Amino acid sequence: MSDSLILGSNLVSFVPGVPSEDRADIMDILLLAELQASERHSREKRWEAWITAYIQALANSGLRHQGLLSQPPRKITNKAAVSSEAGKLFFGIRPVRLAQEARSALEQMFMSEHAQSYFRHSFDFSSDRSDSFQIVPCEREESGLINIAVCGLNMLTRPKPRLRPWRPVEREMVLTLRGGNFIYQQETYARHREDVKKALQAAGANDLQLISI
Amino acid sequence: MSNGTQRNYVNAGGLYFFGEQVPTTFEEDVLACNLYLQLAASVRHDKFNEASEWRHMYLSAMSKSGFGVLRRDVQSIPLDGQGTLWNRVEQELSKWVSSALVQQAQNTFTSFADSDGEALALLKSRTTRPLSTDQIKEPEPARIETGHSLPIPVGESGSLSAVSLQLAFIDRAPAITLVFLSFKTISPLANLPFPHLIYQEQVAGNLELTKVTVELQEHFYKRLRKGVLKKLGSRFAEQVIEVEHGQPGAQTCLIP
Repeated sequence: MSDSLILGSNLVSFVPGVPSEDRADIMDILLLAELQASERHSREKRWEAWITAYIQALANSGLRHQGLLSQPPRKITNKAAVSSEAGKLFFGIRPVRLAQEARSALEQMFMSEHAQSYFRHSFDFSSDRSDSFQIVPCEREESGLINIAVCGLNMLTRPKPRLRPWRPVEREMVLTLRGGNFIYQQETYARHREDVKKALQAAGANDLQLISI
Repeated sequence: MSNGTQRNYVNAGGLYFFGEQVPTTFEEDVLACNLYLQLAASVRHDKFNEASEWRHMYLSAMSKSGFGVLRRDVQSIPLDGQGTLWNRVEQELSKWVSSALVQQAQNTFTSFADSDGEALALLKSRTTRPLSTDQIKEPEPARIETGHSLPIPVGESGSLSAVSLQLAFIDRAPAITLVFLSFKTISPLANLPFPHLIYQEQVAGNLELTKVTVELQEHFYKRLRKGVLKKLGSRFAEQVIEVEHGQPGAQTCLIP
């Protein structure tokens, strides 16, 4: 059974076997990347730019970038189809185990009241909006390398084009996947660890400046 | 690691109730971070006269500090003489907080009765304020007509006081349910024992009640922990006071 947790806008899922020190490193990297991307772009208003900055920040923090994840957008018109359609977006993820893990994390999310509380707005068809989150499955190879698939999902809800103007407005959701495959390796990350920790502390100090007492 | 007992704290303008299973380190984080948020919100807004702006600032700062919001509910409740203020709050808490923690809170209020210690003095000073006549905002006429808001009567002596109290319930880490209560009372506050404040029936106008359940993401908060404690400095020891079994105890030093 995988261990899932919510960190910022990430639903991170660790397949058993990922050591706790490596988990802490990966969570540091994900958190820093989110903070850095959000400094540059609004996740809500400019998601494409945000996710690009996020992926770049992951690579800059010591994860080895193996390739981009991208699928043509899928349109859906009801909440029931979200899970299955979003799951289809994950088919291209390699290794296959990570694709399964991503789908399983997504299914868990739909079943878990807890996860839905966090991401409830993402599946709201009642208004025009853009929401996003990342599903991040992580799996350790025997060699010690950790494969990470960062699956950024954007859900854009908008009015459906009307063929007959007198018909009531219906909404559709456009699901888009952008992300990347990464590898975490302890030895490579060792060069970045201190910098990442310092950057997180600095970002924390900066956040406290904004809510000074 | 938890110490296996229920613990209660006055945290500036709030009363915090921790269940037996809550680890001490989590308790420290909750108390420190929420004290920080109270102070930060009070730098920008007067919580008695700008209660909703103060709450908005508090909750928005929370989301930047590692708290993920699970659910939220904002209500303006006319108290029409049916039961006490606490009866109504208790009713609102039923689906949000375990009955054991509600009972723990109730025991604390009751035990507060005969005490007049440092903790109670701190709590009263941070939660109550007499209002002058020009600070009394009447509800909008439309809200009175629709029955959603009761008019605010001024006491016979012309006195009216604002109360802004926070209650926090922590059954199990990492979830925290915060309840923000704002109301006006015609009861004279100077010598009012705390239970009278919470069990009173004389609320003037509506009870503004906001409930929010959040989770503190440890990994997110840890980058702020040092900074929060450093900026709080001696204020943490001065404004966070443990209340043992409802009796104000010795000042608790949670941080070595």
